[in-house]
Amino acid sequence: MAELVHMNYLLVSVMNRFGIRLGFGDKSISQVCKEHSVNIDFFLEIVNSFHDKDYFPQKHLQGFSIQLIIDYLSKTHRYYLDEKIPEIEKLIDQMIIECYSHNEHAHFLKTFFIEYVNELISHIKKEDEKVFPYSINIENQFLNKKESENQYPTSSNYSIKEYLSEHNNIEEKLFDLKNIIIKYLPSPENQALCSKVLSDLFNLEKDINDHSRIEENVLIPKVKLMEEELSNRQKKT
Amino acid sequence: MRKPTFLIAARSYIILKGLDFLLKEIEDIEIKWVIADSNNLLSKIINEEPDFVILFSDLITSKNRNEFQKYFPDIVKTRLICLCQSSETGNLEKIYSDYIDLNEDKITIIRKLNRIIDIYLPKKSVPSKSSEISEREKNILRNVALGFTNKEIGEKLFISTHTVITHRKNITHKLGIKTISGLTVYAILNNIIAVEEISK
Ligand SMILES: [Fe+2]
Ligand SMILES: [Fe+2]
Repeated sequence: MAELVHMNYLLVSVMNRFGIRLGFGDKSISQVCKEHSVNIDFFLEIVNSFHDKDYFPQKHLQGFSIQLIIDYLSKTHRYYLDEKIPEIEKLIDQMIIECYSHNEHAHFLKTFFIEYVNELISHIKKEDEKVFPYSINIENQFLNKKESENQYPTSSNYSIKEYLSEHNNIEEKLFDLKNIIIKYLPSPENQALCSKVLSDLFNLEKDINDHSRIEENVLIPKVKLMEEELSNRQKKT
Repeated sequence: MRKPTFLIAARSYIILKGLDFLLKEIEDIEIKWVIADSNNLLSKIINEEPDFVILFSDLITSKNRNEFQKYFPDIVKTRLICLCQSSETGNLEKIYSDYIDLNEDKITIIRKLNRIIDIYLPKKSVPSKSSEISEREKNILRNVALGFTNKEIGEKLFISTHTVITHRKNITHKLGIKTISGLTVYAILNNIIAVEEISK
């Protein structure tokens, strides 16, 4: 397990999403996964595709249960909102004071960042409150669990297609923010702080891209298949 | 200028990966790759219209040759480049615009590809790549930052909405800023607009 971190330290945060913290000594990946009751197959696919953006075993990932996929996705949401965003926000506050003390307009960077955060929050909220529960319900019906039986399609007229069509690009503002810092603000007085902010923004962007890729290429197609199967079943009866 | 786009297609993963690796040495191009069975290849090319497709010679078979001949080299703007053995270079299909010899060394192949790009995508007198935006564009940027719609800006400046959109694309392209709020921050930082104006 330690070797994973040596290979890519950003994986520490991915491990956290599975409830795994540092301090595993020399234990192997399978040992640590067992101790934390983590599905090792799923863990490895997530870690590998996070690390290497050319590696994306779409079919294999679609084989895992929606519940499992959504668990991971919502933990990732929590990581963004509860850890990463507040951290970057603090850095940006600090940067405005320490890097651009002579620029009277630098505080607009903060305004812009907050706009981005609000966009991200409403994006995530919609997924947590609407899309994810809907998907889990579809899976339950698909597996024929009693409590949700026969609710399809009356349960809602919503379909996952809607979500795909409005799953908008939340990286655009992040991209702009980077460019404003890189190109359009004056030379920062505190170079190190500025580099730190940039590297955090780049890492966040990569993380979110990975996350959206799972939503769009694993979760959505899987739910879609189940929707089709359910409506076929209904036609038969 | 837009980056030239390449699609690479072969049945063999190893060939694809190798080609991908090699193309990455060329500056400023965009690469997509497909592990192809020859079935969906043609529709994929026509849908995506990349500038170039490098495909391994065995992907053109007696089955799909006729289909390909309908589109290449004249109907679709995409140029097909054949990746083949030295022995095949003598009698290439007419659909190809050029070829790459599988057995050549790295430098030769890269030079050849650069030449191919220059021939088929000649650089127009390169529009100054600097992020300087023109006075007209500044004026439009000002209005965007003030919250006017494309239609309103067109009416104000006596130009068509279409022209406004074109200007906006150019601005975004030059500055590398896509969102309205990002453009607003840029406008403030560069004194194109005063803070008091937007708080209204
Ligand atoms: Fe999400
Ligand atoms: Fe999302």
